[in-house]
Amino acid sequence: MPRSASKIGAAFAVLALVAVLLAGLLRSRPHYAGTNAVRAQQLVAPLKPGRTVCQKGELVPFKASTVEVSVATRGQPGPPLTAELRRGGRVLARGSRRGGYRDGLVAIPIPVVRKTLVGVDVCLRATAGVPAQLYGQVNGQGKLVIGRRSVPGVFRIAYMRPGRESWLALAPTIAHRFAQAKTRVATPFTLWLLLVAVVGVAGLAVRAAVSDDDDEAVA
Amino acid sequence: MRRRLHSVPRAAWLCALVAVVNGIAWSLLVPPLQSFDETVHVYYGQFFAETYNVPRPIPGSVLSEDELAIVNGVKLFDVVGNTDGHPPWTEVEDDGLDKALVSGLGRVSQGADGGVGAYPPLYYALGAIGYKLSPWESLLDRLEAMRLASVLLAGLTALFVCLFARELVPRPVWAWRAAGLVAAFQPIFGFLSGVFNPDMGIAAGSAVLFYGIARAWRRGLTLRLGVLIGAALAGAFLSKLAAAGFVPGAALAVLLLAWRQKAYRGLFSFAAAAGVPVLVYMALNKFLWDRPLLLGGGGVASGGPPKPGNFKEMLTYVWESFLPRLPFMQDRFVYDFPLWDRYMRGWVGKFGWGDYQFPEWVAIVTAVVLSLLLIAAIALAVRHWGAFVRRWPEWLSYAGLALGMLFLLGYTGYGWKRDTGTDFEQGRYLLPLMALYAGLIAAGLRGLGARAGPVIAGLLVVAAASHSIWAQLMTIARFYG
Repeated sequence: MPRSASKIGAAFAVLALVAVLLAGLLRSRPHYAGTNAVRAQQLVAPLKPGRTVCQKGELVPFKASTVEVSVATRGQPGPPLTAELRRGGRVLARGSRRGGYRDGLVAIPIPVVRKTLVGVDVCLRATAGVPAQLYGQVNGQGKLVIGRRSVPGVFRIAYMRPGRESWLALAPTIAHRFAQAKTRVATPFTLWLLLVAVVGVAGLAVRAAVSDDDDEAVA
Repeated sequence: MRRRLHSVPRAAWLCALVAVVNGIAWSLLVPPLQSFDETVHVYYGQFFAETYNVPRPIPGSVLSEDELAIVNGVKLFDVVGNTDGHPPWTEVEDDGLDKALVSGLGRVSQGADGGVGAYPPLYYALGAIGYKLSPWESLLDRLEAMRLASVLLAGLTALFVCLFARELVPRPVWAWRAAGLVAAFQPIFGFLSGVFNPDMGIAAGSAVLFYGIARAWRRGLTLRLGVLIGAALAGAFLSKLAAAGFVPGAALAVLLLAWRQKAYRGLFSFAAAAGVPVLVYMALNKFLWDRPLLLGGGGVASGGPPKPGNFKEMLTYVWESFLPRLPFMQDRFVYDFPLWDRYMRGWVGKFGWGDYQFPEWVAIVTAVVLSLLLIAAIALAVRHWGAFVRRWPEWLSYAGLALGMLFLLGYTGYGWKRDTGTDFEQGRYLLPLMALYAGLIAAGLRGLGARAGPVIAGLLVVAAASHSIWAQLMTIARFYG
């Protein structure tokens, strides 16, 4: 009796966990296409109406659909912003957003980037309203240009993917990311193989834990 | 030998398989160098493999040009502690790193301290074998091969932890089997089994040590078991000096065994197996590597002893690391309670360089479950009081091992805090006590009785496997999501 009860109990537990896992995997939310990995920890550049702030040499990832920056507005409504991606004097993409936001993350929509771009200048400009400031780190050199003046510091940038996606829909992208900057053994296929192996061995373990096999006498 | 391998129960092999499969998964899931201090451990392994020499507590360069290229290429210090940051996601960055790594960068630094200048070499030698056996020369590939040394040690650890649980609670089978599996799925153990860190060396050595002592209490301290216990202690110590915490407990255990069983040959074989490798290591330090005999030179960061300090202050620190402060004690931990906030939460799961972890409720649920199992184990002891009391020297052995390790952690933490101003305590430092964790679970399950026990055992294994998979999904979300 206890053995069949343990099997039933384990089966219900597995079913409940699979249900929770599926619910988590199927829930849609916005996901990042990439960030420049800069911490939003210090105020690095003012956003004054009419003056452009550019960050040089950025990598803009495939499928970026917004430029997201971290802005301090001192509790005031933030100014309208425009963002431009420039390279070699050419504007690759442009976007804008209305003002009125408060301190925190501010996303400026841009046309979806169709392939990863390198060496891009990301330029921001407040078009009206009260001044605001960009968050980033003060220790960067040669990255930040305000007007025509190069200043120390680097501001935080993140790029969102278009729309909302579930983790399941994002899975092929995750598998691609998993394979970057690692041993050549790590390929997208390897990730799927690992997941199967990990779930498989968990299944074996649960089966063994509820098994009636008591023949493993102490040697 | 073959007969001995055949006598190992299938469940113990399954525990090893769980650890190896999860270790391989972790080794590929965790981006290069994204685990506690992996930079300096890889440095040591690479230096050893390239020069057959060890780092020393001297000033000079530490990481090789090769490794520095990876540090920069994976944006290591932009990502550590920055949940907004992630390793490279694009082929452009991947290609850039690959090109840097084939551009003839140096593989050997000046072999300076780097915090590991007085560390023993056994674990790193295993990693160096992986480094040498790698069919590819890129350090990214060789790092993976080095991580596989941890995977193998994880398999060994899980095997012996399961065998220890079996020696401790041989009947019913489902109790020790579930305990071994729960331990094998432990997420911080899984995480460390997939990265290059000597914590896996001490984990494996201590698992064999606990098993050897438990086996000796049941079967007698034979010559071979004496050698096994001594070699395990030496292996753990030569992987990580923190195994010094086991020396008093192991010595006490073997003395008690020899006294109770009149097995003095086992005592001598233990002393020889434990002492000779350490003496050889000391001689190598002195005459070949020009390093301090055992400790010192690199200070606390190198595993050296803390400078002598206020004895009472140190005792207070050790006490408050694990127990609530008593009214007459100075408050050494104003902001948290290390046993819970650092050890327990870290044990339940804190990953990377400690920058992501499970929500606190997971630690609370784990603590409740472990407490219930402890109560069930105590109830079992009370029900079989006579048999329990007859085994007092065995309990004393385990207590000696555990208390020695906990004291060493507290003592090291005291010196570390005083000398660096940063916190030392982490859940992963409890890995050497994993056998006792499995033992508690096995005893608790048995204490729950033949009706409830098997049901709870099955549920615990489901929960442990889910906990492990959740940790891996959390890692995927942290670095790739």
